[in-house]
Amino acid sequence: MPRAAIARDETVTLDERALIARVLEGDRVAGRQLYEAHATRVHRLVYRLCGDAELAQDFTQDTFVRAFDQLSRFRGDAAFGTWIHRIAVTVTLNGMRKVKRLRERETTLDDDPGIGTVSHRADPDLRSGIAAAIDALPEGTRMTLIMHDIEGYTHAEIAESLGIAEGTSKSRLFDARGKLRLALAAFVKE
Amino acid sequence: MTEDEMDERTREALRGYRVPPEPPLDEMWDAIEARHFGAPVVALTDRAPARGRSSRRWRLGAPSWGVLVVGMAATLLLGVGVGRMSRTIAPTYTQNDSGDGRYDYWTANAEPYRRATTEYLGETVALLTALPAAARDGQPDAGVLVAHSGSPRKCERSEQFRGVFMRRPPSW
Repeated sequence: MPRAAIARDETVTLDERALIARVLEGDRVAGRQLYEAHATRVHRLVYRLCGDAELAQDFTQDTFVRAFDQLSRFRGDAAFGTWIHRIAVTVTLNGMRKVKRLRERETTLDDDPGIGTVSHRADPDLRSGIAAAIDALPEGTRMTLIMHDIEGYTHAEIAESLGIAEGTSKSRLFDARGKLRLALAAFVKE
Repeated sequence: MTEDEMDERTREALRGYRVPPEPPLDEMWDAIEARHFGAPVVALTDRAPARGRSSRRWRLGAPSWGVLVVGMAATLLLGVGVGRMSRTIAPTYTQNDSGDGRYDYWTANAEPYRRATTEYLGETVALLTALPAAARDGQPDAGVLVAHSGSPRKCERSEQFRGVFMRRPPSW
């Protein structure tokens, strides 16, 4: 890693530590700064996972409230961003399980017999076909795909956020891509 | 379609998957702030650059203990001051006629009232005594008063009374 990048990362970490210390003392300005540093990315991930603007807003709020409440437990072993994204994933998964209308999206790809033979006539839009294929992926596989291929997280960050091994993250991504190729093949045939 | 083209189209489709809207950062922060930090902060000034004391922000609904203690102390001092001042202003007499050794304000201050009452009653007696004589001498005002002396309200309503007392003098 270039020296400048390392120095920048250390500066960010030091700044965040100072902000965290101030938030623990009840400094809401520091809380706002910490929030602004991570809110947009957390909201993006949450929205990609749940696909609903209101739910994304609620889950993002819940994520930060929980993070601030549990801030004294943050040991600093990992970056604050990784830690709060792990909370965001947990909050989102738990929240989605409670929302009845989103349960249909959690059906596994294997349980959906039509996903591998998506018809061009039935769904002429490639984008919506891909979206349907992603929605039909198993939960863990779908999250890995979204975090890696859409949001640009590394396997280390995904492993930390989801509480899995890096190898598991890689195998899930391989699996997700394979199933998407199958879905895409239906469009390519014609 | 080649392998590379397929990958490119897949990536393109992935980029369009659930594109998030612009996050309502301020709205979300208001909720987070209220839930974690308590009552929201209200800025007494607008968002102008900080300039000394005028840029201070105050938390409504949750005054600190220091402010409460200072407020209570100030109220207590004010009460003591008012009490001491009223003690110096009110006429007090050291003599106490109650006889049991306790100080009683009304007993100690009865003498001035008794003196004033005696003075006014004396003047009234003198006036009532002098009026019949004045009426006999032909003074009209005295005659009206004597005629209605048993009923002050009747006296007040009579035409004669109005003629004597209610008429505005030409010099006014």
